[in-house]
Amino acid sequence: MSAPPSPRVPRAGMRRLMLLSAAALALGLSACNITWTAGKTHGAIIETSAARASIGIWRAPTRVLYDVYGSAGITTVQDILCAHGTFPTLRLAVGKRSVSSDALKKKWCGYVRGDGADLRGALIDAQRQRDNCLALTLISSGAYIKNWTHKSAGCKTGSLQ
Amino acid sequence: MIASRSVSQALFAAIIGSWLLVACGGGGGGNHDASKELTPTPVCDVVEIPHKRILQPNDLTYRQVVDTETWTKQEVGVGAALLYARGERDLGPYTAVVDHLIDRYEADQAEPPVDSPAPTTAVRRSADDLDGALAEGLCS
Repeated sequence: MSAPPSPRVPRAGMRRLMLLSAAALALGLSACNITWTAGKTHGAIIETSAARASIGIWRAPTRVLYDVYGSAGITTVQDILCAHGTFPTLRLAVGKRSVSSDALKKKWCGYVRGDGADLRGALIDAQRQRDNCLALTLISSGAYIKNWTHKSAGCKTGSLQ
Repeated sequence: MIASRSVSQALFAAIIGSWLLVACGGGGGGNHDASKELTPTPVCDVVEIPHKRILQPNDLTYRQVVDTETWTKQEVGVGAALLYARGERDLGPYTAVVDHLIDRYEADQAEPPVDSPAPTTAVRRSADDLDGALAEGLCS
């Protein structure tokens, strides 16, 4: 009669599997170079390989803003984005270009209201792509820009703070 | 020993009673003016945009949204806007209606679907209070 298998063996195996999964996840995230930094409702997204820095809107899933848009139009979405948000405390920086948290706060409503058509297009695209993250890119290829876009990684479910 | 315990119990009852008296506004019934008890800013941060941008243009009130059985895109937009803005703000007497509408929105959008919460008497009263306060210029 053989001895029953030790419970330590599967537990150790499971631990190793989890470590491998974590390592794979970390490797995958570093490969796509998308990093969330501090921020309660608007997170900084830094993509170093593309020399790109964006603000990701992640207070709630994009669906919420899309429903507001469907009900009351893009102006109301702009009102909400302008009125609500806690910005990252860290400087949004890639290479020699950067946007400080203070500058971001001062300019935020201008960014939000500056191009309603661009925001609307990004919001619709984000929703079509299964609730992607809505983002405002401020630095791309090392240059300052203002471009609403959407991103698939790191912000699908959002955070309610 | 027994006397000491009785004194303690009495003191405890007195403290609780005093607290209830203050919390309930002197026991004058539920006809209080909620807008005077709360700084309007946190409430307005949450309720003003849906009120001005969705409810008013469509001749709707928060109470009507509460009582609407099948939400159209207007009511959905109200729930969504409240959810985005809610955060952890202290909404005082309007907490019940705002949280109910957010719960309803989340239930309606859930996949797979879940049952929507039914409005309680407290929710309806909270909605009426909010509509009344907004009509009196809470966020003007």
